[in-house]
Amino acid sequence: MGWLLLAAVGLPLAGAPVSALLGRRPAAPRWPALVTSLGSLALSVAAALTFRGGQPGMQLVSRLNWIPALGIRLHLGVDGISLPLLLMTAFLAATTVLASWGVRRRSGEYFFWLQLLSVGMLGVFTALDLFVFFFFFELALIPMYFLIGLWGGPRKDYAAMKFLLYTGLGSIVMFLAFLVLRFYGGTFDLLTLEHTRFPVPVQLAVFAALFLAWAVKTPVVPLHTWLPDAHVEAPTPASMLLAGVLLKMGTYGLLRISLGIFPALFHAFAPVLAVLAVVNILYGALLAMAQTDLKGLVAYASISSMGYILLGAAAGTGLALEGAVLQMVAHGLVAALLFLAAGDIHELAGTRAIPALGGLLTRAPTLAWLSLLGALCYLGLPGLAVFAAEFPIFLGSFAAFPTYTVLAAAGIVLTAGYLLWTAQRILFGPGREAALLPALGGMRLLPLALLAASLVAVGVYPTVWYHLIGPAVHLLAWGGGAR
Amino acid sequence: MNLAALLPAEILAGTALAVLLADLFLPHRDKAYLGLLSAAGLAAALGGTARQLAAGLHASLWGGIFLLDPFALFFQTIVLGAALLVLGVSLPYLERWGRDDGEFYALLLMAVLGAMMMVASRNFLEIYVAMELLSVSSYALAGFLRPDPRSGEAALKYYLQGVLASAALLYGISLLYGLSGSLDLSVVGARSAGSLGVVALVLVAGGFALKIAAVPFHMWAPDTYQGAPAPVAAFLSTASKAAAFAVLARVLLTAFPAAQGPWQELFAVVAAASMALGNLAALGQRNVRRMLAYSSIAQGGYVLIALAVATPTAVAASLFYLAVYVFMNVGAFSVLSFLAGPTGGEELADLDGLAERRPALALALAVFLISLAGMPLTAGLMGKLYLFYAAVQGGYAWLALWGVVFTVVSYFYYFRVLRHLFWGTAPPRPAAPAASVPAGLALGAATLATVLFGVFPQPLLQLALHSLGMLR
Amino acid sequence: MPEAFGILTLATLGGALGVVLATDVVHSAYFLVLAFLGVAGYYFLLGGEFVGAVQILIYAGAVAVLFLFAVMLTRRRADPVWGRSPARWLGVGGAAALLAWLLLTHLERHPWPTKLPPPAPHNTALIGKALFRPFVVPFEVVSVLLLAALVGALLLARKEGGAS
Repeated sequence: MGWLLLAAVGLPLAGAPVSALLGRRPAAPRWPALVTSLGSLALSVAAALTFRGGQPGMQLVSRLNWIPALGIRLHLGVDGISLPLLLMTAFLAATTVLASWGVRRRSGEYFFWLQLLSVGMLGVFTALDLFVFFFFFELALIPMYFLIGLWGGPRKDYAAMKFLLYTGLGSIVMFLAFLVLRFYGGTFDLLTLEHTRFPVPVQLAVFAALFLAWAVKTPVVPLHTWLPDAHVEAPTPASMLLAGVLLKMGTYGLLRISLGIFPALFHAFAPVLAVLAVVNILYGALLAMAQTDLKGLVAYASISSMGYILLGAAAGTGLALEGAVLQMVAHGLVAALLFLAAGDIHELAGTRAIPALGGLLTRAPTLAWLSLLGALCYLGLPGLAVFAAEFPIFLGSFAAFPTYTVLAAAGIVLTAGYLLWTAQRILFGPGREAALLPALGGMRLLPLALLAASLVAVGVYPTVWYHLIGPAVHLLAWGGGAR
Repeated sequence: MNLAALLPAEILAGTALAVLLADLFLPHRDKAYLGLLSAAGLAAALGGTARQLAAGLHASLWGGIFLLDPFALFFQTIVLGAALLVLGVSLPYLERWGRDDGEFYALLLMAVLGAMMMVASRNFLEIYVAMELLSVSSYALAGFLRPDPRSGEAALKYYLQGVLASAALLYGISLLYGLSGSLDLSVVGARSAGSLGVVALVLVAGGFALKIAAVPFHMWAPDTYQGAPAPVAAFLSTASKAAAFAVLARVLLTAFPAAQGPWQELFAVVAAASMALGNLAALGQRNVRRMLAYSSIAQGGYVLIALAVATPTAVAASLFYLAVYVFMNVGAFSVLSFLAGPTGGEELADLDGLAERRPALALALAVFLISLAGMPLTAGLMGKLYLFYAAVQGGYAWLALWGVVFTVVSYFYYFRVLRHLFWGTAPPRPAAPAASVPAGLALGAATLATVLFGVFPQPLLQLALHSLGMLR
Repeated sequence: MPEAFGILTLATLGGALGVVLATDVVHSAYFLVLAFLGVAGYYFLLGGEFVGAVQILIYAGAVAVLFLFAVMLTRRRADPVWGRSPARWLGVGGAAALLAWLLLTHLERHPWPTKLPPPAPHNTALIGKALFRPFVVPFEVVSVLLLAALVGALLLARKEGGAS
């Protein structure tokens, strides 16, 4: 059944040129994008249904020779860690197409880049060959550069270039690290490298280089400065994918590659990672409080949230790791929802400045309620996705790093504070804008509703996910007496 | 046997003479046929060489003065292919400048002939003579648009520095001859041990380094690439560079394997300096052609990694890189050739909004630049993968690190051009002239090859590995 | 023999320096003839009468005369005098001295054979045979090279706007 993954990744690649060629008619290019994204989603769901849960190890594996001269194979497969992320990515890709339904300006190029971005994102989470992983990782850069640059906000030039250079530096350093691994390990194959022993200096050098790559992408705090610029300037659908999927590439790589290949080194590094995680959580939350731009707020909140994933990874107990993986999914969904809501509010009110907004609840009730649901989910309301993920993280991390976990929990309080305060100002308060556009139609609310529904679905019944994630993660767990 | 094996070269020489002769008799309006005649000759030579390569020809001719082995044939194919692309773009370019003289084609063919002979020589005398043929034709080509003072300056700069390099090369050869009593590559090295041999080798290498535009012999490149006719710049930055690299590799690897230590270090430094200087200087350029000139200095630096590492993998990687580099660099210069001249300049601002005025041209240029930057789905990434891997494998990880760091630097200037192409807003300007059929074919082929080898690099990699017979 | 070698070297080097240092182009051309003659002398000294004669005929004779004609026919205004700032002198002299030092030390250190093989008699015939047997292709390439130089020179020297 390996073809399922190949098809899921390849479908948008086939659709991209079709969209580009249809560019003369502004309303046409979105259709191929919709078809391929729904197709990818259907294939991913089919993959999930075929996937035999409750056991570790890769499934649905396909190996195609790609560049035999270098021993590079198109080696794809999923396990309990990557499958949830694949599903989340495919779902977000489809939602994003819906959210872009109204794009008319140079729509051929737009949907071309959007689909190419999907290829990169889906590929990263299924690749089991390091070069293939890098290929997709880097492939996601170019479309995002264009999406920000062509359809972005006023400071798009700066934001696009900054995004490109920061994340480009990260991925090219990763590339070099992979080459070194290939040299000492004799292969690019991830599953083989996991059982390879490397000389200690090589381990240290490669681990450091890889961590730099993940740290830029995740982002870990001193390297985060590209994120607010990119998220704020990007068009709404691009922001959704940036926060929803691209950030997860960093934490996924951390678990899959750094922890997978260098478990001992990772264990030794865990305390440092925990400190970085707490810094991320608190720094992101504090800066989020200071934001007046709605998108900026969600961007800094994302930095904060990624800290919980890092904390879970650092703790290394089975429970914490399970939570970390689910947090990737949950944060992906909720961040996408909040960015979409911010975009919609911007469109409706003509501004994203929080002080200038108000009274949304009366003017656009559906949008308001859905945004509120997102905010509540974000701050960890039980029954919604983020709670289902963060709770195990805290539970699992407390065993390993009690002090850090308590500090991180303070982050929750901050998050609750600024999100509720913001929601109160935007939703209730007096409306200050003179004239509002008519409320958004059903088609515009559809992606928002879908995202909200997914949050509830994950939050109410997370067991399905933990059934998937558990076995794969317990292979990697080490901290606090495992489990 | 001897003459038959050199048939492609003979075809070229014959075509060049035929073009010169026909130029005398053809009326003004029919001069376009000269271009077609040249293209036919080039295509025939390319076909012949490719057949020899496919057949795995390995022939030593005239008592070893020539060696037509897969290595030579690979580079001959590269040079001929580059020339054919250049020719396709030159046709409308010359027409637009109102210069339809047959001399251009004849000189181009003679330059190609020189490059072809150069890469197949195993004798310093022949190497020198063939390289002079390439050089002299190139000087004239660079100055072809002489009414434009920049073209004259381009030719003069190239000439002055080229003569200096030739002198260094000759002096080095004379020292080697004095040491060994022979001009034969297979004999010279064995008998030129000692420090004087190294000095001679450095002089010889300097002569070739100028053609590769490697630091510190790069000074001519920006002015010449900017001032010369754009197709000529494309030729100089690809075919000429590849030929010089081939000879350098052959001289070093076959004649001086014993002296590997010193010259490996030397080329590591030269490669590192070229990458650094080329990439950093390109950052500040507002003129796109000048930026490409610095970029090609940097690209030369990447390729020279192979000589520092000097393993079979590394050399195979450089073969692959040079082959795909031909497509992307000829392509990039070619797109510029449509913009330069009477209808617009080559400044960054002149590219504003090209995607809306000429989508096909903008798309092609984007593909070439993304490939030069080494991004996925293009051949440039595969080339860098192979080169940097060879560096790590050969114990030159620091050079690979140096390379990737400057690759990130290069993102800045390549993607800055894309920004102007796709979301610059420009005051309306006269549309660039429509591309003619040959130019369209050349550009289309280059674009297709750049993408194709980026997705399916295996056949070309295989061929590059296969062409290393001389190292085994 | 060493005396003859010394005299020839003086002539060659002196001529070469004179070419570079002379302020008048015509003087430079004269010095060039001197350098050419010195080189021809080396050839004779080594027993290469034919090459020596050709050197005198072609270089000291034809080429130098051509230079003189070209200079005299094209000189209309005062030729620009090259900048002679001390910095330039220092740079050029320094580079030359460095190169000379590098070469001399290495040349001296090398164990050169003390005895040369005697020059082959009738080497003119040998040169002819070498040119037309093993080196026939380089010989032909040289003819194409001359053609390219000719075409190139014509192209560059043609009147401005040479569309036809």
